[in-house]
Amino acid sequence: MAGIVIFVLLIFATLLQNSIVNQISMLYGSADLVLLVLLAWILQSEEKQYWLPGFFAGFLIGLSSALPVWLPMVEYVLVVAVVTFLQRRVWQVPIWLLLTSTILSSLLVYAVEFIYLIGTGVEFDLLTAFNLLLLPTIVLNLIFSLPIYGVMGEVGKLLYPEKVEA
Amino acid sequence: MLLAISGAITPVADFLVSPFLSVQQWMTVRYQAFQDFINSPTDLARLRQRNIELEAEVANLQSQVISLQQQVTEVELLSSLLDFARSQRENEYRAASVIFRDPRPFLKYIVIDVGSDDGVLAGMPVVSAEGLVGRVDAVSSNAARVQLITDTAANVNVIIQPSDTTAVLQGSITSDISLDLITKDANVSPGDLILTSGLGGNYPGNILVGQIASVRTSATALFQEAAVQPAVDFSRLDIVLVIIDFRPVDMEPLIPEEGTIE
Repeated sequence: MAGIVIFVLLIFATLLQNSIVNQISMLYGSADLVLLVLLAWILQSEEKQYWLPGFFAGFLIGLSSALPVWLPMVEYVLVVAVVTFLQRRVWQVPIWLLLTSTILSSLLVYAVEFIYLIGTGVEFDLLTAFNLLLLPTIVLNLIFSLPIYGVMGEVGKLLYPEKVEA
Repeated sequence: MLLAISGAITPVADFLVSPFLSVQQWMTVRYQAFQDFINSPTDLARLRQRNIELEAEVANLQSQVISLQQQVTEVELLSSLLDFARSQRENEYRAASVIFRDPRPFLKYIVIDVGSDDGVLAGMPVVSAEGLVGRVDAVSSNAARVQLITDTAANVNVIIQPSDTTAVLQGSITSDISLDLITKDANVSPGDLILTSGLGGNYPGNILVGQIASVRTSATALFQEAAVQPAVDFSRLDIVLVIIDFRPVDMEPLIPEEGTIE
């Protein structure tokens, strides 16, 4: 049951992303709510299988976006791999881990998409994209990550009450 | 009687009645104050109840005002689209609402609520009352994805008026649109109008795109470039029109494959 909740939350996050969050922009960047929900889930969940939510998050973004469906799926699975690696081997301070994961994940997602765009022959100035699009996106993701981490923490308490009692 | 008629009694009457009136007034005021004091708890409760009722009524009226304002905005928008459709009678249109925008900020796509069931096909141009919006990129049975002209992969063949110069409009990753491939001898200046040229077969001709905002000329460059102010406010796209009787020309068979031309 607890494992199913993340899929419902990801669908809800995608709806919010497409209707509201992508309208909240800083310069030309906007936050990635689906990514942040996925990150917060990975960092707080008792489940150990994150690949399926990663695939599903990518699938939802792929359906909503003009990108090919497989590309966000690859990106979010890579995000799962990186965050899982960070979680197991590097830091144990949750907030620091959250912020680091947010920055690295945002960079990873956009790096893959920029490489794809260049590969498909789309011309754009990388420096402009970095300054006006990627950096504001990272800032917005960092701002949004804290409340989402809090909300997901509350969801975690509801789903895993035995851990709280212990 | 005679004294009263002649008015001689009036000062006497005033003198006698005046203290009486003063006392009467003093008593009436004090009684009313006392009555107010006695009745105030019930009045207060009644006023509070009335206040709650009025506040509820105000809230209800405010929500009605907001709803009516939204309807007025929608009617104005539809009216402007109708005017546009009437002024461009050579085309057949299908109105559509914007459902959502692409979640990636560097991709300028919108999804609209009409699809192949409504006669919409990939490649059909999309306009608003102000001008060109983009073209249908992908279609499902009841929705379609539209690539805006601000998208970095969008290219539109245009003509600049009044100089009749052809150029190519390009989107960018930051939603700014610009003109490229303007010949160096062309006399273009800020304020010139930009219309679709119809060349390439992707868009019908003579749809307003925007105005030239500034022109960049370099001594070493082969062509001039220009920044464009689009006619359409892409941040406020709610309802658009799909030109459903336009079929884009498929240029693929005309493009020679590699190695066929020696």
